[in-house]
Amino acid sequence: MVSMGLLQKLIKNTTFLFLIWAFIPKTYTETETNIHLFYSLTCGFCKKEVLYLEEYVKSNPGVTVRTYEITGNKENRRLLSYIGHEIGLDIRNIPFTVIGDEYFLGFGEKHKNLINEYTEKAASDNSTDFVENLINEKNIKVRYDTIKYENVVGDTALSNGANKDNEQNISSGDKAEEVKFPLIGIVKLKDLSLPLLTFVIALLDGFNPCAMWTLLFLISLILGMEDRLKMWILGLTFIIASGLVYFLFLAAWLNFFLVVGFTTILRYIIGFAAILIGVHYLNDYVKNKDKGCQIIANEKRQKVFQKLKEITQNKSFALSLIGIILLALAVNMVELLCSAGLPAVYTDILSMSNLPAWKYYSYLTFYIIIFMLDDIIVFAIAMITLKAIGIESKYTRFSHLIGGIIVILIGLVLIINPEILAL
Amino acid sequence: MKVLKIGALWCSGCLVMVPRWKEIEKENPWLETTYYDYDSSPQVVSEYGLEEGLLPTFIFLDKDGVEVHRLSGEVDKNTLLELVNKYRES
Repeated sequence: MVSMGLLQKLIKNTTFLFLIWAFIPKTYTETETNIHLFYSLTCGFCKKEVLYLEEYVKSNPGVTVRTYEITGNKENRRLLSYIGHEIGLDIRNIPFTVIGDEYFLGFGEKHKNLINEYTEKAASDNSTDFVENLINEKNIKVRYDTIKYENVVGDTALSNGANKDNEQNISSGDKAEEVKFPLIGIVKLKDLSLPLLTFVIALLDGFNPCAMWTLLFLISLILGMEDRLKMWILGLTFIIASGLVYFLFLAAWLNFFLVVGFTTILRYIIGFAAILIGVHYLNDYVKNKDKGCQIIANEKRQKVFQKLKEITQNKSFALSLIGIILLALAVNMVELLCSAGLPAVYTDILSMSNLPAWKYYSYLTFYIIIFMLDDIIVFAIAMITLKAIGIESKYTRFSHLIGGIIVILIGLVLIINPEILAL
Repeated sequence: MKVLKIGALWCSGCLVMVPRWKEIEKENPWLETTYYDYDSSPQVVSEYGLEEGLLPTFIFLDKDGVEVHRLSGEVDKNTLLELVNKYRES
C-alpha cells in the first residue's frame, strides 16, 4: 500500500514537473549554434541579413551570430578565402553565410528558410562548426561582432556585440543614412537611389556637345543624301555602335570591381578619384565661361572626316554600314582613354549593390541610354528638320556644376562612410 | 564694318550661333558678314592666328579691314548687337 501511494505521488509529481517543463520557454543552452556571416559595410543585402538575424536570435536564443567584416579586415578575408578553398568555391559575392557545415551565398526570402533549416540541422545532429574548426586549425586571428539573444533583446544588436572594437558597425539606424558635410549640411544620401545615381552620373559623363564632333561631321554629310531611310540607318548605326563600345567599357570596369572590389585601398583610390573628377568639373564650370569648343587636333579631325566622306559616298550600302560601325568603334576606343574616371566611380558603386547579373547589365544599358541622350536628340532633330543643330554649352556648364558637387560627395562618402552607398 | 564668322561643321557651339546671327543680319540688313569654315579656310585661320583656342570665333573689322574686336565661344544676341552698333561707324 505504501509503495502504491509512493508510486502515485511520484507519477503525480513527475506529470506536474513535465507540464512545467513543457511550458518553460526553451533556452537551448544545451545546443549552442553559430551562424557565421561574412559581410561588407557597403553591401545592402548584408544589412538586410543582419536585420533579419537580429530578429531571428530573439526567437532562437541558442543561436549566436558572428559577423565578419571583410572590407577592412585582412584576416577575415583570409578566413573567407580558406573557406572558399575548402569547399571548392570562388567566393566573390557577399553576404556569405555558414551554419555548421552548410553554407549559402546572398540573402533573400529563400535564404530565411535555409537559415532555419541549417540551424536546426546543426543543433540536432551536433554537426561540426566548420568555420570555428578552420579558425583553430589555421590559427587565423579573425575579428567578429556577435549577435546574441541577450544582446538583442531590448537593445540594438551589433553595437552590443562581444567584440565591440569596430567603429564602423553595420547598424541600420537613421543616422547612418545621413552625412554631415561642412557648408552643405546634412545630406540624406540614401535618397540617391541607384537609378537616380545612374541618371546623374551618366548625364554628367555623356553631356558634352563638344565631344560629339564625329556625329556632327556625319550629320553634315548624310544631310546631303536623298534617301531618308539610309540617313536614319547610318546615323543610328553610328550611335548604337558608339554606345556598344562604351557599354563594353563599363562592363569591363564592373567585372573588375566584382572580382577585386573587397579591398579598402581600392575604395580609397576610387574615392579620391571621384573627388578629383568633381573638382575638374567644377573647375571647368568656373573657367569655361566662353562656352566654346576647343579646337581639336587637325590631323585626327581631317582623317576622320575623310573616312566618313568615303563611307557615306560608298555605292554599296552594306559596305557603308560596315564602315560606319568600324569607324564608330575606332573613334570611341580612342576617346575611352580620356574618360575612365566616371565609369570607374559608377561601376564601383554599382558593384557594391549585390545585384543579379541581369540587373547589373540593365543598369549599364540605362547608363548608356542617358550617356548617348544628347547624341540621340541632336541626330533625331537633324533628321526630322534636315538641319544640323547644336546644344548650347550653358547646359553643359550647369551639368558640370551639379554633377561636380555630386561626384565630390560620392568621393567623400566612399572614403568616410561607404555604408551609405549600399543602395 | 565687317564681321568674320569662323566656325566648323564639327563644332556644336558654331551650330548654336547660326540662328542668332541670322536674326541679327535680318534685323540689320546693312551689316556685312562672311562665314569661313575652319577646315576649308586655312588661309583665314593662319592670317588671324586661329590655330588654337575656341570656336566659333567672331572678328570685327573696321572699314579699312583692321581688326577692332574679337569674340570666341557662344555669345548671346544682345552682346553681339551691342558690338555691331558700337562699331557700325568704324
